[in-house]
Amino acid sequence: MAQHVFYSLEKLIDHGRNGAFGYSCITFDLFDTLLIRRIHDPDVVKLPVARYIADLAGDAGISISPQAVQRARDRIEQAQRDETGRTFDDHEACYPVFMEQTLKHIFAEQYRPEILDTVTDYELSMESRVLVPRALFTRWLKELKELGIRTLVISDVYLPAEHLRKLLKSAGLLDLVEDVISSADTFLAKASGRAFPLVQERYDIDKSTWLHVGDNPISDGLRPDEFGIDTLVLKDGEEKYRKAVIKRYYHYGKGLPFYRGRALQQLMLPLEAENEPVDDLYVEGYNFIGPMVGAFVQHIAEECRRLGLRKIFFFSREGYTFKRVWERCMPILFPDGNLPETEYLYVSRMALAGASCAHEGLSKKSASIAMLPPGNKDFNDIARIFKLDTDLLAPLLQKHQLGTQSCLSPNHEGYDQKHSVRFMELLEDEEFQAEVRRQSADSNNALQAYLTEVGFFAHEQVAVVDIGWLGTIQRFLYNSVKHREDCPRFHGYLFAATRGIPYEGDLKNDMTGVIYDRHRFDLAASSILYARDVFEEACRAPHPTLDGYELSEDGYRLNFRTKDDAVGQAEKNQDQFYQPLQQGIYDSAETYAAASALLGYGIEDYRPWFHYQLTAKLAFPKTSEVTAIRHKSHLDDFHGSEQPKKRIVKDEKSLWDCSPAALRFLPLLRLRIFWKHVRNVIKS
Amino acid sequence: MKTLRTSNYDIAGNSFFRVFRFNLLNKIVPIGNFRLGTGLKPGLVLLFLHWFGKPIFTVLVRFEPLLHKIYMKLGRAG
Repeated sequence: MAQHVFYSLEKLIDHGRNGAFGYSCITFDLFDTLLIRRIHDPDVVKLPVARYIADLAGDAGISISPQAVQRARDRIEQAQRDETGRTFDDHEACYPVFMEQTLKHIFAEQYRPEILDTVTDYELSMESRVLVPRALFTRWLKELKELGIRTLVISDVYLPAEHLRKLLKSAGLLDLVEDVISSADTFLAKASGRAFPLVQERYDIDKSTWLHVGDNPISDGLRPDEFGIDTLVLKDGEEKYRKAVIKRYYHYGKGLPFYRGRALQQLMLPLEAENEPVDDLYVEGYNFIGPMVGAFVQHIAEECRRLGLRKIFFFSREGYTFKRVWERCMPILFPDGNLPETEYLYVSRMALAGASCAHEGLSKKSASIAMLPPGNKDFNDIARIFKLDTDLLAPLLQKHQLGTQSCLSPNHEGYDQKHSVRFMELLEDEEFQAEVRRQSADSNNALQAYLTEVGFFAHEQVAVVDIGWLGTIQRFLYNSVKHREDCPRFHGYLFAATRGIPYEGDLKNDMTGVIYDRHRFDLAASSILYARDVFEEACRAPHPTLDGYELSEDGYRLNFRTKDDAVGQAEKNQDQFYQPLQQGIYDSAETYAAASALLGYGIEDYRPWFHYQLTAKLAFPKTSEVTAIRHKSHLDDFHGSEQPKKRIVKDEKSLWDCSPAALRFLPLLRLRIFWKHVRNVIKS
Repeated sequence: MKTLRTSNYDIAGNSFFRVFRFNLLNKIVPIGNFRLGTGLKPGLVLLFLHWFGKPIFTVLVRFEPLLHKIYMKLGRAG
C-alpha cells in the first residue's frame, strides 16, 4: 500500500484521476479537504452560537454572558471527551449530547427540546456560511459519480453524520457522495484508525481497491496506510497561506481597531468558484458600499433592540435598498428574531413638502430648505415644491411688494436683500399662511389616510430610516402629523447627516447620522460629501419618485412621477447603469452578516476602516474609480432649472466633477481639493 | 470585468499597499481618525504576506514537520 503526499490540489487530483479506474471506492475527508472554512480557526464559529444562546437565555429571564455560555460548552464537551476516552481509543464528542447538557445547565427547569433544535439549526447555518466547497474536488466528485465509483465522506468531528449531510447539502455535494460517516456517531475515529474497519464492514469495501483522500498526515495518511489502504494526502501551501492572512487580520483586530473592518472584508471575500469575474461597478458595490450599508442596518437593529422600538419605516426610495439589505442580514445577525417589523414608506420631499404646510403653514425653515439648491431662485420654485397655486397667492405677494419672479436667492442675478425681508414679512402674514394651509389640507389628509393604513400611528415610537442628508423627509413628515395626539415618537437614522439646515429636534423627534453626522467632528467620514449622489443612485429603488398624495373616493391615492418623459427615461437609464452596483450591495449583505456575526463587532469597531474607505475611495480615488462609479447626471425634482451665478457653479465643482485627464495628470489635485474640504469642515 | 478578490487574497481595488500608504500619509497630513491605524510592524508583516506569502508558503509547506519541531523547541525555550 502507498501513501502519497501532494503539495498542490491540481497534482493530487491528476494523480487520483489517472488511478481512479483501479479503485472501486474513494473516501474523502471533509473539513479542509472537500470543504474549506473562510475563517482560520473553526472555534470562531462557536462564538455567534454562544451569543445566540445568551440571547435566548435573556429572553427566558436568565442573565448569562456569551463568554460564560462558551465556557460551559467547552467544559461539558471536554468532560464528554474524557468520558469517551475511558471506553474508546478516541476522545470524541457528540454535539447533540454535549449541547443538550450545556443547554440544560444554562436553562435549568426552563429547558425544552425545541431550544436544542433552534440552537442546532443556527450552528449549522453558521457553519454552512463559512464553508466553501473546493472547486476542483467538486469537479472530480462529479467525474467519479459518472464513472460509477463509490464515494464516501469520513470525518473526525463532533457533528453527527445527520448534521454533516446538511452541511454537504448546502455546499451542493450531498448528491455526489454515497454516504457520510462521522466519528461522533460511533466514537471510532480516523485518528486511531478504528474508523476504517468499521467503514469496510458497513459498506463492504475491498481494501485493495479503496483510496482515501485527506489532509491530515496521521488520520488521513498513516492510519489508513497501516490498515492497508492507498492514501493521497494534501498539504496545500496556498490554503495555509490564505489562513495565515485571515489569521493575522483577525488577531491584529483585537489590538488595533483599524483591522476589524479589514478582517470583516477579508471574511467576506469569495473563495474557490465564488471568485468569478464581475462588472467593475459590482466590485465597488460589494467591496466598498455594501459593508457600510450592512453596518448601517446592523446599527439600526442594535438601536431598536436597545430602545425597544417595534416598527421601522424605511423611506422611499433609498430605503428600498436598506430594507432589502436588512431582510438579508437580520436572520443571520439576530437569529432570536427579537427585531422590529419593517415597512417601506412611500414618501419624498416633493410629496411631503405640501402636506407639511397644512397645520403650521409655510415655515421659515421649510422655505430655507426650498431655496437651498442653487437652481431655485424665486417664489415660483417655492410654489412648485410646496404645490401652491401662485394665481391665488399673487395678490398676497403683491401686498408685500413681491412678484412670483422676485429673486429670493443670493445665488442668482437680480437678488436684492429687500426681497428677503419682504418674503419674511410675507411668511408672518396670517392671511398668506391661511391660504397656504387651505391649499395643503387635501394633500395632508391623504397622507394621514395613507399613514393610518400602514399602521404608522399604531406605535408609540417608530424608527425612520433614510439615506440623508438634511433629514428633510423626516422633518416634513413630522410637521405633517405632529398635531395628532397619536403621533409616534420619531427616532430618525440617516446614513449620513450633513445638516445644511439645522434640524430642530424635540422630545418626540430626533435624528442621527450613522456613518457621518455633522454634529460629530469627523474629518474622514465627511469625505462622503464628495459624492453624495453616488450613494443616492446606488441605493435608489427602481420605481419613480412620489409626486404627491391625493384624496380619492376610497381614501387616498399615491401619485408617482411619470416615467415617459425625458427625465423619467433618463432616470431609467441611470438605474440600469447602477444596477450592477446595487446587485453588489445586495450580494454583500449575507456575507457581511455572516462575517460580522463571526467577529461579533458593530459599527464602532468598523468605523476606523470605513474612515479609510471613505477617504481613499472618495477624497483620494483612482481615476479609474471615478470614471467607473460617478453618475452620469443626478436627477432631482427638488432642484429648479434656473442658472445660478458662475461663481456659485465654480465653487460647487468637486473632485468628482473633474475630467479624467485632470484627475490623471494634475499633480496634487486631490490634496488641494482635500485641503479645501478640510477648511470647509473645520469652518462649519 | 474583474474578480472581487485578487490572487494574493487581497481586496480588488483596495489593496493592502494602498491601505498602508494611506496610513503613512495620515501620519503627515491629517486625513481622519483611523484609531491607531495599521501600526508599523503589523502593516509591514501584512504587506510582506500579501506580496511574498504565496511562494513562501508553497515552499515551506514541504518542510512543515521540521518547522513544527523548530517552533516547538523555540516555544519550550521561550
